[in-house]
Amino acid sequence: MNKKLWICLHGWLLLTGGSLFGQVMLPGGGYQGMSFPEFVESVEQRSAVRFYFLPDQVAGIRMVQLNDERSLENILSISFKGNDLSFFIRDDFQVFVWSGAPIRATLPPARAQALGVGRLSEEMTELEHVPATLDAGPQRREEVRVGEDNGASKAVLSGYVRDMETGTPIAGASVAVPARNTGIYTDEEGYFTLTLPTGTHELSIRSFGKSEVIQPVRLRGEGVIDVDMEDAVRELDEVVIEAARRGNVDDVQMGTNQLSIQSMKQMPALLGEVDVIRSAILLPGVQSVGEGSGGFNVRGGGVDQNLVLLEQAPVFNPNHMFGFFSAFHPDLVSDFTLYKSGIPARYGGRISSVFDVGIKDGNRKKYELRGGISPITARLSLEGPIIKNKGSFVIGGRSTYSNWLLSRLPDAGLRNSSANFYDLNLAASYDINLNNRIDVSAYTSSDRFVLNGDTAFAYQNRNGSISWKHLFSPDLYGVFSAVYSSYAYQVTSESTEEDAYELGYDLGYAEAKADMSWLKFTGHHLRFGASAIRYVLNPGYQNPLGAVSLVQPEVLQTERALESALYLSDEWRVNERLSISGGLRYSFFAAYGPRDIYEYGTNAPKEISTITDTIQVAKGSVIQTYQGPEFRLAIRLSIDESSSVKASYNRMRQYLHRVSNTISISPTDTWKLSDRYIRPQVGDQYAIGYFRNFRQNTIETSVELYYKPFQNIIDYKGGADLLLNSHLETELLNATGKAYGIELMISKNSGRLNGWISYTYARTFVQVDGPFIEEKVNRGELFPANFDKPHDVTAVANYKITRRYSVSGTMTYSTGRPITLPVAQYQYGNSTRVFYSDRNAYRIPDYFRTDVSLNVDTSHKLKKLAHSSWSFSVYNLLGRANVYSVFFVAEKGEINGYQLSIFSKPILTATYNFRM
Amino acid sequence: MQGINDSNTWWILAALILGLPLLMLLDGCREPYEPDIVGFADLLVVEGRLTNDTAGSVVLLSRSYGFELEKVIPVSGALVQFESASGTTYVLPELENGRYVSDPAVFDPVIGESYRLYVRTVDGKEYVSSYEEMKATPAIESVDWQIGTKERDVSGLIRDGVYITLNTRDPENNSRYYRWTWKEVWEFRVPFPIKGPWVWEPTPGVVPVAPGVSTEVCFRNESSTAFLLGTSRQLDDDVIVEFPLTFVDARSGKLGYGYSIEVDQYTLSEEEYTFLQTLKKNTETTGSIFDPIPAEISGNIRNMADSTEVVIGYFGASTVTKDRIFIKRNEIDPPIVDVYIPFRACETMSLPLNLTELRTKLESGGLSFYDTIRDPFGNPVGFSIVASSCGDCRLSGSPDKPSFWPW
Repeated sequence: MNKKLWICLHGWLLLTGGSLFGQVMLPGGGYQGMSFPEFVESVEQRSAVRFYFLPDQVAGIRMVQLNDERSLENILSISFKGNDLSFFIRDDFQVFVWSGAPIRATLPPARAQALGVGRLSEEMTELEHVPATLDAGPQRREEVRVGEDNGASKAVLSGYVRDMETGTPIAGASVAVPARNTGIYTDEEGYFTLTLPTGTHELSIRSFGKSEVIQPVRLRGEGVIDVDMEDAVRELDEVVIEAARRGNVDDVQMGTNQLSIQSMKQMPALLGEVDVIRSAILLPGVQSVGEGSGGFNVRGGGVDQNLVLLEQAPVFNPNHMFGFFSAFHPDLVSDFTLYKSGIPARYGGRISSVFDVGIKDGNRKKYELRGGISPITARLSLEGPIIKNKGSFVIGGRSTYSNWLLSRLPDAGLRNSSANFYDLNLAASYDINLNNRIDVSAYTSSDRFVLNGDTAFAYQNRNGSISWKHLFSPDLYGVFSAVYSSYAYQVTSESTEEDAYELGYDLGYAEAKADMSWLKFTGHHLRFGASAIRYVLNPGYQNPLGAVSLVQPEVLQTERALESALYLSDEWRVNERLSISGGLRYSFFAAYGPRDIYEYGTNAPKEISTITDTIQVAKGSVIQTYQGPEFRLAIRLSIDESSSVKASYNRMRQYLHRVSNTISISPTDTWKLSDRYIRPQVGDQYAIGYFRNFRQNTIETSVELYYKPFQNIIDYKGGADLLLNSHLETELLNATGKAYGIELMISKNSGRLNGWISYTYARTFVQVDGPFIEEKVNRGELFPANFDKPHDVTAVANYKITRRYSVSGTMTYSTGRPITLPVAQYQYGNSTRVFYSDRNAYRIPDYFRTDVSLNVDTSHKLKKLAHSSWSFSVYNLLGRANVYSVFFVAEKGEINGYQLSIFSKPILTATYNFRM
Repeated sequence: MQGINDSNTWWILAALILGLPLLMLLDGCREPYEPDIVGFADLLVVEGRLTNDTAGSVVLLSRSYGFELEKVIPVSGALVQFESASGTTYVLPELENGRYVSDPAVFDPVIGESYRLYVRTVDGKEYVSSYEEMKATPAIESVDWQIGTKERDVSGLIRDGVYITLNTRDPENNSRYYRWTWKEVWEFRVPFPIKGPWVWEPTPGVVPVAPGVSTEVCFRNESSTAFLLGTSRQLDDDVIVEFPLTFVDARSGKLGYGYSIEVDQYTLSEEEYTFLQTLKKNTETTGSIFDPIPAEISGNIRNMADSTEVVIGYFGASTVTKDRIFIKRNEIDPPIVDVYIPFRACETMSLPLNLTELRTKLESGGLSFYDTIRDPFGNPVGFSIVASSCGDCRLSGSPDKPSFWPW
């Protein structure tokens, strides 16, 4: 057994270029007669070795006495002899012990690739031959005949790798033909394709935590084969394996972060709500203007410059309850990927980042119910097969059940308020046959709150997508999707019967797209596709409410536009050391009628008084078009096994703009399409980085620098009136700007102690310099953007005390955001007033916050019906009153300054979760 | 370690839902803030409106000042004049430092004509406003009051009081933008009115105040400090309904005997409305997390030689209309004002019949002679004194009854 393992690992060693595996040596004596847990404790105390095992399975094991120095694997092999126990020692000294047949060591970056950035199938050319005769561990399957003999010498074999228990696709599994030194990783849907000579082959399919499958195939012609894999170690998913392993160094992508929901669930949560966006804000280069402000800023970009996708569909307001919580159900999310630079060509429409939230695949074998309660919400989700092994669904909902939080807020206005929200998700997948798969997703979130008793705000996101994946040939497949998304808000006010009104806004988004993936050429992954988006946007309406109301009905004209794009990209693995990912996206935008367009005098600022003419554009006629190429390029050059240099450039164009006069996302923000006066935002980004891994890839470090110039950002005239404004262009200013920064990160993704520390230095400047004095801010000079926070330090740490207890802590520090402060007083209107400084000339005090949490798994037995866990967290442990905003109020003719902080005391919460 | 077993689970669950809210203490979030500013912006502030008010049109010139200063800095000696588009000019005399007031007998603006404000300061800098059309302001339809409650921002106490609201209507649908100012006057009485000041020379005793002058009944006034701005632009009709002008707190003592408020109404141009609204937003915000970023203010007054100089102010022009209401104490039902009686802490203090002791007391300050204490036979046995504010209303108001007072 020892020998087998060694050979098996030898193959692996060649892959990674040599590690110190097997060098854990234990001195003789000292452990004889110990029970296995005692032995584990003794070893763990003295070394970095960590064991994972189920106590039931190792009961009765006594360690055998050995007098000379032995390697750990040797000791375990001897002690486990005759006990039907297997083990596996990972290169980071994590030891997995289970009852049953051994698995063979798996290819290291497997799952990483699956979750990782490119999510690409990558050719494995360097696979070392592993003799197939060692079949004690692997499961040998019946030979399968594939294809019809047409005399060809080569044929394409493709198929899916799935989990036998849940039926969900296994991404990043390796499908290899050891005898031919060839193989490939499965893509995110478990799909693989291989070109092989006709004849008999033995496929070796491996994935971390699964028993290897040896699948003999008699390949006669082009055909497909599906492989199901069994768990090698059950319940291993409780050991969170952050397997981004060598991706840090190996992936061509840079400026990309990915977090699994397991990681997010370990972190301390505000009021017990696991929050996707709040977790993202802990990453380098991601900031928010302050607590309780919805949205986030990526590398100096505005909150509207992030494309927030949920299963392909954009989410226009991803927040609940004024922005305290993000609108994603934590039990349904599988992970998110954030692209900060080198954004792939298949994405477009926002100039700063892509924030792609994935919903997990439902269990294809059995039903599973999950739920939990926190002080804010109750949530429930159910997943299971539609038709066993053919399709699955996952459905879930979350709702708040009390208004008590609001009654504790400091603001008197908020105290007289109420808030309700919910979100619902449905996702399903169905395999029609081997060549066709259908995915459906639907989502809705809804918020309603009442401010000060008489004004009610409500908003809703609704989106859905249906996509059909079709294999044209084994190396060419396409995903054809129809996507719908909408956002709407309503405000009703009944302060007096005569003034009672309702006003609202809505945005409709419909998209059809095709994304093709072509793996014909070795070393290349070609992608190409096209998309068309139709926007129908009602910028505002107002209606009287009740019979007495004197409010004049008003409806702003509908805006319509078509945004289409074509793209082509290639990920080219030139050789071992060099990878290039290049792409071109060409986007085209047309705003069309019917709509009235105001003409303004050419030598005057755009104001109502300077309107010279109104042009009525007929239905279907084009008002304005914009178009342009968007280049994407990323290069990775390996220096050695554990370090690489990467560089990227991308240009993005954005035709949809958030219009808001407040610094954070507020419910009455609207989205506005580009038109005759509002040009598309254009952002470029140049980035370069150095990446290096240490300690067998368990520690990753990176340094990234970026420079981003951007154009046509929207800014506002002083006191701009944005609500129900039919000539919005008179209130808007055209801004340009630039952002630059450096991000340093050290992370440890596996082991009992994991987490990261990052430091970011980042600046963002804006310039508003129109031709007229009304169209300048700060005399047309560069000034810091609202979210310019130069220094940012974040530390996240998780420590697993035992299998059942883990503690986590996060710490964030950042420079206070810029504000505009009063610099003089004066008398006006029988009262003292203040004169404000240049825009953003001062800063609020620095921000510092520490959170901790304790996660407790209450059930550790496998066969227990319900699996439950507790999470206790303290938000703002030090109780620091971080200043959110500073404002000045004229009270009795005097000016008084106040600072507002949102969470100024530690908040302890407990959350209960269950799964059955 | 032993985990939480299932029998405990439900107990903890109950504690979580019922108990945790109590642990959540989110108070104390709003705290005073003192900005740390080096230097300040020294700017000319021009506040002026052309009206047909019988008291004349007022133009105030001052400069902005730093936060460590308490007082406004008036700008004196400037040449201030109204100029009509048709070429007539009128120079406003400076009545007080920085306060330039027109004489309505000499200068009577014409509705429909456009005017601008011209200012030349002593250092020779010339400033001019844009031309503004003199608009006609419609009459105020009504000023009303009703009993209500208000939650105070800081203390959080619920206060009873009276809301003063306004209705207005322009049948021509022409005005659309309004500004109101008000001046309130109320009567108050002290519980121990003195007959007059005590003097020591030539003989110790009281010098009674002149006939018709009261130490008991006085009047005080206060003017609005907030910008009261309203618009009907979103309505079919040019009407303003129940615009809240002010809240009179029952504990303020303003409602104890008689209360009157006079409201001035001005029609604004959209630009002036926007300007004032911006000033208001910048300094009368509530600190809500949705507040907009402070806006730069730009009025309609410019330095003729240097367009980059920031001048604060907007010169507007319109007629004024006025309305006044009275609220008598006995009209307020339920009698919320009884909760608080002004001067209820007042009391008299007895002294022995000793002039030396009386002198010591009165010269210590803040006290006044109230009366001589006599026995049942009328023989003086001592003196009673009272806190001056409880004995002489003139210390906190004016004894002059306004001409419009109904009794």
